[in-house]
Amino acid sequence: MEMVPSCPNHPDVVEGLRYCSRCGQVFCPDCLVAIRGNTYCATCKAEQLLDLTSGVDQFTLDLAGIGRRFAAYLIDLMVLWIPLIGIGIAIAVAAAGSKEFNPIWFQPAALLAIVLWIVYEALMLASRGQTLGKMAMKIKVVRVDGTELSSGQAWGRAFMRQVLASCLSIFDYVPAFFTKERTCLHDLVANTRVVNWS
Amino acid sequence: MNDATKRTRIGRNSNFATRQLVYRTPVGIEIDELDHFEIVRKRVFYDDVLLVTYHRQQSWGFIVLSALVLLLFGILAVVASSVPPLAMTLAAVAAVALILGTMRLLMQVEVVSVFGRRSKAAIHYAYRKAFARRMYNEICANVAAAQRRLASEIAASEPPEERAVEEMPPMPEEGTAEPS
Amino acid sequence: MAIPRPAYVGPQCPRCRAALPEERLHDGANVCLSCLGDFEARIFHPPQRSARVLQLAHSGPEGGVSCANHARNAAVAACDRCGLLICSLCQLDVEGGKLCPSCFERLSQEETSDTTRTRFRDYGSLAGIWAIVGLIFSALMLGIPLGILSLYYCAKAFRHRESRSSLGFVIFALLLAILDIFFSTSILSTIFRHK
Repeated sequence: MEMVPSCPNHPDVVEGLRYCSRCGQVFCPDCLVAIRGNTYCATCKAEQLLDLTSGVDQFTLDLAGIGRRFAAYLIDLMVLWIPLIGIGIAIAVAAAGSKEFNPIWFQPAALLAIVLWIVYEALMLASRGQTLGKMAMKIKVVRVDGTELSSGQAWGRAFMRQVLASCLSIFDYVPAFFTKERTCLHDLVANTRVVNWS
Repeated sequence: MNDATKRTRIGRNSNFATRQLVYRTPVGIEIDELDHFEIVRKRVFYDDVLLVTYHRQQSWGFIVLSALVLLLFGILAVVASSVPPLAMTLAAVAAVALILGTMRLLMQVEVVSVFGRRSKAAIHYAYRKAFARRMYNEICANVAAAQRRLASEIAASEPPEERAVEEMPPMPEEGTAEPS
Repeated sequence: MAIPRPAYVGPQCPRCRAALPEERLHDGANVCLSCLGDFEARIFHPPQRSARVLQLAHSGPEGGVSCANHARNAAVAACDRCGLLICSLCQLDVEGGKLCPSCFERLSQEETSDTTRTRFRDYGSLAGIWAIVGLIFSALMLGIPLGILSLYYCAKAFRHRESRSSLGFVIFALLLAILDIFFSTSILSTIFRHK
């Protein structure tokens, strides 16, 4: 004989049961209160209210500050400059060696830089949601609901970021200053958010 | 924006990545984290506090920064030694960095940390040592008072219920029994 | 759905942030086992609040009035804002008083409730940044629009006292913004005079 789920407080109610968003138990509608789109039972309601007023609400994203994101970007830039400068030096040495030097030799370096950026960002975001700069600044790229990125999203975000940054330069980043969720254009396209992760 | 939320600033907790200002309100400790565009506010209520600590540590970030400034401006001063006024200004900046760095190295920094059930706060005091000790004592006193008050409130509202449950065995006509 | 975040779950060593097991802590001098650092501590045992909330009034509307949202719960209070009769489950205690869930929702969306608002636009810093940018670009006549924008943020900073970190910085931004506008207008007037 199977147990029919019923409300722990009102055993006679077996219909219309819902879950409490925090403890996961089922309750009848009389034992649940709705706050900001989620339902809570009596004990969890007090905890949720304390969480909200303490600023540690587990149902809202802890969006990372712009200063931190910019610092992470600078660190990533420095990390990527090392191989790029190496390649630049190699080209310069090769150019100094040969008689005819054409500045167009540096073109593949620019393209290589973009490809390197995409590969670096995509691989690191797909594996752990953070690049080296983001790890140093303790921030992370997640989906809108807070879960981990899929590899498709990581590659899409990295690719679109380079495309948008090349076409629009800084305007790719400007929406981050004005939107509530601090999304750059590449965040909007890839449906991602950047949160604190310490 | 009511007068009940009167808050006084009691210190800072700033490092390379963040800038935090810490305040004290009648119900707890408030931490404002600033990043030039938004202020994110966290609270540790006195009713929630589990642990308050006090310790002394070295602030390496500040010392490394002042060492770098000293190095940079010192080298620039030497390079510009042919232009005395410029060299003097640069040397003055380097000297200031040296003095501040050495002071921080010798004095260290006192840290008062407040750990609650769901949030935490930390306040760094570099120069106001006596104030730090006073804050530690005051915060402990506030927490103890608030928790004592809460305990008496709970005790005041509980006994009638408990007595009722004890004296009356669960009778269906009275209503549903309270599951505990 | 709860968002996974590196949770702060309890007291940590103030130096190395390792979790401190309760049995190792005592009042006074302590040593952390992970980093061997010493610290002074005072331990507290806060009383559990949940005991109070569990008093979901049973016995429906036989003797008393029932809650507006829950038919089986007796009403124990009235919302301070709309007067709705609510049970202890609906009763949300904020610093201003008691609220019913719908008023709570409305206040937090309008962002007028001080207790639940935890993110504020930092008008002071914004005013300062726009003033500085305006000063840099005042030669390009951008000082006027950026100065006005900075003044707008200064006004907002003065009105919303909780959204600014330091009054001095706002005043500095105010002066800078006025300087911006002055610079740009003087540049404009010199250009027009020469035409």
